[in-house]
Amino acid sequence: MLPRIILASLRTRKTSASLIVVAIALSLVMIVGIERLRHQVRANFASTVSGIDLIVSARGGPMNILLYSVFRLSDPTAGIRWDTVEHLADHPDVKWWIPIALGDSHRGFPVVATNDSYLAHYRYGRDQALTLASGEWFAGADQVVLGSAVAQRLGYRLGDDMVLAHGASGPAIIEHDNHPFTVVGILAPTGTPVDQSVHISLAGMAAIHSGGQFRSGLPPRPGQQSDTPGSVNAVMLGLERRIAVLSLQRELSRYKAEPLSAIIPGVQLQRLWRMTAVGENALRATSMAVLLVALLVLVSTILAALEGRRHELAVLRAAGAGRLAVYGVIVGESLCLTVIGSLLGLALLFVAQWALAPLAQAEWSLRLPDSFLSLRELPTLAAILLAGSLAGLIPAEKAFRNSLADGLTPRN
Amino acid sequence: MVLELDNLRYQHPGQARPFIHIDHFALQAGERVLLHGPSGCGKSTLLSLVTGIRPARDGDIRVAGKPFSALSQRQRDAFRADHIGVIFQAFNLLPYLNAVDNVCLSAGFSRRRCEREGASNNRQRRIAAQDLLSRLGLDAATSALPAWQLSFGQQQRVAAARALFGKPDLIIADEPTSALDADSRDTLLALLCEQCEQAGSALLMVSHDSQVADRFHRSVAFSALNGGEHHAA
Repeated sequence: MLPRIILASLRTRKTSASLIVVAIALSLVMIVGIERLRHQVRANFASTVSGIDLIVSARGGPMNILLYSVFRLSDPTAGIRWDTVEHLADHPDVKWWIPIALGDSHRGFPVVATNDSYLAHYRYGRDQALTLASGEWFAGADQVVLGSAVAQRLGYRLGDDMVLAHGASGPAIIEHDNHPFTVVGILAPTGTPVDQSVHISLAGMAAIHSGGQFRSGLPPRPGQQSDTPGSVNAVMLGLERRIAVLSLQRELSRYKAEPLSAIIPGVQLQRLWRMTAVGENALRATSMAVLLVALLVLVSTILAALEGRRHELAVLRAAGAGRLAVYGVIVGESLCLTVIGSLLGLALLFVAQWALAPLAQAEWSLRLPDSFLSLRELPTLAAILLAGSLAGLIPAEKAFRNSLADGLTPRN
Repeated sequence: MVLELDNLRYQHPGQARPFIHIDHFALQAGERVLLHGPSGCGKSTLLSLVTGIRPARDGDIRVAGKPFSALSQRQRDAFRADHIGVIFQAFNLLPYLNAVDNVCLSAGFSRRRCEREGASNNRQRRIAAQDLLSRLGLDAATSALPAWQLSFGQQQRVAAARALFGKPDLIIADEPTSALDADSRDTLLALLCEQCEQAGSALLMVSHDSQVADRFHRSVAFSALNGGEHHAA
């Protein structure tokens, strides 16, 4: 009977009830949305480095190395020499290696020079390999393979010509007009920075900077093989045995020929999350404050409505309603509003995720979650519902006291 | 005895002398008593005490032989649900429920009253409620309307049906006819007395109007009953 009374009574106060529901829904969108985004960003970052055991670069800050080499969020350090790369490639602990040379960009998208190992060995997510959505991996120095977001945003198709610029970001200052590249492949979406990258061969990058003319293949230059540039910025390593990571890291930090840094991406990510925790906590505190405001609105609206409901409560009391039933009606109402608000919030979030997913994928290569509610969020939801029902206790006690003071017949 | 008051005293907080001061008052089973007196004399306060909504600290109130005033608030609430039906002067109904649902409110708080109507499930309750409503002159179509769409006279009849549901020992009516015209007043009183008779419920009605006294077994002036200070306000 109580649920019926609660719902019927709320229906007579639709306007204020819907405002509370919206307030609660929006605060839930904030709380759960921020949490989901945080989780998703972490998952995306972790997914990006999932297969890499070590990243070797010229000596520099570990965080910087991580950010520029995999996430392309920072400026690359100085290069490491090709003979060092060969040393790494021949190392008995090393299973596979991927050279990375950076520094150029195409209309804001970073250009990554690498070799065939990139396609063969780079892993993201749960041990997933890169696949080509169309075309094939580059074979020549004037060929380019685009990440899915690059192709989508810039509208390139297989066989199109494109021009690469020197400099990592912003509007290109010097465009290498004389070296048009041809799109030969487009990668399938990965939800990692790979989607935002323009991939060329090491020879291709060397050619851009050499200023030489080429149309098919690179003319060999003195002292170099045709596909070996003077230096690369980083080498990603996969090891035969993961257990060798620490010893190899130590060994490389003492490498004689040139100063190197070898970082373990997973460890650096943990450090990164510790650094960003302050900002995340501030966001979380803000969303908690929003929830608090919504709950205060809830309490004050129910309190304000009590005056007009004195007769209603007197009728219930006369029919035999005790403290428990009065509490049931009022707390039930606040719980009901919180439940509806939470469901609306989850629905809003779901729709927003669905609507923004293509944008997030294209702009930031961020895969938005597609769940309505995940197990991980149940404690948060339970806390919100609990807070909503506790908020009802204040007006419930007031309502019961009113009914005692009013006796049988409330005045007005 | 359905109701017995002994040495009942009640004063509002901050008052020096008792507002209600009744040495003895009793109501027999099935008896209909009119308690009349001017407005503001303390009749409503007395009814709040008798129904147990307001706690009586001094004196004895026994309802159906039970020392009502000695019970806890919670026990009094449960006891009221089982044994007392209440009709107000106005605003008796939850406006958003229909007549049948309003009548069933009593059933929702008392198993005893459901049993006395022979209604063990929700459907039977609604049938019993509708039956009671039709005896009070409300047909099924009217009973299905939300309460705010009913006329005032109809609302008071629904209130009477709710009070009578489950044949409680005592019906308390606080000026139930004061907002009605003479015809509606007579209709309501006739129906109420008739149904009290049928259900075997005692009726204690307070009113400022002593003209209706001939429908009652007894008529008592509140001023004769109450020795407390009640003219201060």
